[in-house]
Amino acid sequence: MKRSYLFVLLIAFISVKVHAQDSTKFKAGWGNLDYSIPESPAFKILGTDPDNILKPSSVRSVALSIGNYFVTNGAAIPKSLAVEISPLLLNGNASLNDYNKNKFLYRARLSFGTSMGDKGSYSTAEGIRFTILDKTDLRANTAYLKDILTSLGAAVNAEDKAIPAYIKQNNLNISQIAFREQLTKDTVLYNKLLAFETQFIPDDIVKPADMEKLRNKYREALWNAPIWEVGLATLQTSKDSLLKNLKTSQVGLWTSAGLPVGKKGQVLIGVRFAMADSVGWQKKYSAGARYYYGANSIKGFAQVQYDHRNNVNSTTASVGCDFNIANGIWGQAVFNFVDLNGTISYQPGFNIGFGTGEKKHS
Amino acid sequence: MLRCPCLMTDIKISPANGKITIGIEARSLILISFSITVYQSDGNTVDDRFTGDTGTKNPSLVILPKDPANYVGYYLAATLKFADPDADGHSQYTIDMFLSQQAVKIDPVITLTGPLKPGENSRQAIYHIQ
Repeated sequence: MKRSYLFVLLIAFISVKVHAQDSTKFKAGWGNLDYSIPESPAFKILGTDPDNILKPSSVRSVALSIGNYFVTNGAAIPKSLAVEISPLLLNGNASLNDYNKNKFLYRARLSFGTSMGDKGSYSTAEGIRFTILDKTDLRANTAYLKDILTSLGAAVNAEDKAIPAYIKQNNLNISQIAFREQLTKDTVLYNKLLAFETQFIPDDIVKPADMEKLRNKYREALWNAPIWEVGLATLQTSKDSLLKNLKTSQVGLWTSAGLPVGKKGQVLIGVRFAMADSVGWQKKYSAGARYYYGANSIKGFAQVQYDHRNNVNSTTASVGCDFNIANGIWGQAVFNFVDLNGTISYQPGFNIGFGTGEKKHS
Repeated sequence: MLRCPCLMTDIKISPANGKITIGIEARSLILISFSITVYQSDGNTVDDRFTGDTGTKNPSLVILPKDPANYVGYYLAATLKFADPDADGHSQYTIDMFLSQQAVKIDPVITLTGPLKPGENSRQAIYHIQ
């Protein structure tokens, strides 16, 4: 966790220190682990991406979005940065039971973002996201939790059987309680016992070493399960870096829902309404649908989005791919085709996201 | 409330205060399955054994069936297996094991903490009843 914070600080430091030509732009991205690339309302309202669908995702303690990269001399520097946190998940004493009793509150996330624009202008954004429904959430999946408890229960029984058996097999002149006390002090002995006790676990039970496989099995099966979220964000902009010049310039409201299409498909439907201050407050509407096909670790998508602003309509068609680069790091390559009053422009994008990583055996 | 990191912990109960309840409480985003083995004073003879988990109730409670006086000198050994279902980077676990009589916790509480491994985690904790 400490490393994540250091990384956020490092990126923030670099992003305000380095100025470069914005000749080659990568589109903004967003990151988190688990289910592909989530998007925080604060990052979304920074407006670094033509895509206005807020992609729903399972809650993580901390996630970082960086994007709108400068590319100069081969080095890519993000112009935009947002952090999304779940305040209740960051509470060190939160239990799984608390989480499941108050899922709505635990899944609520706050996001904060900043962006450096052209000619020295700056933007800041704050957002909040609520999850109304999330069937992808492993912490709330009854079948998965039951499988874990079955496995843990079998391991408990195996250990209690293994203790007298280990004492007997090794001719130890020690009582069971003294042996147990020894286990609390001697990690090497405990590891020997853990290896020894696997013989007492029934064959039809998931073994301790296979818990990660069990989790991946559920994760892969649930990546496209129903999910529905609502997000709200505000944007402040300043023509320079002075805090006193920051002025609220946009308020946005999103809602997005994902539904499975077969085992390998998912449809996302998203709507956005925004009020933007541009020579008076103006309304902006967006609606879009995205179809995913693939698996949790890699999936292609096609998307159509309709936007309306100032009596001007535009349509964006996109194709792309979400893919897992490493634990906690996701990428997205996307090709956007924007039709604005009959003029079609082409915008390629590449997004990267970081989140608190899934813990895996090294 | 005293919290004790030690793992063979002496605890004084009141024979007149009603039955002893053993509690296992997860204070992290983990699932715990556990057993409580009741050993007689020789530390080797198993008097009773109970199992439970924190899947539906946290803390999970086990009530010892006999009068408290019967357990003086006995050992209560907990085998704890636990896991983080989401493995989302939480690096620490905290588990409390406690005894109570008439719904009042008795000092000391055994608090187990440590780094959370991504798969199954194991701990032992022992009370010696005085």
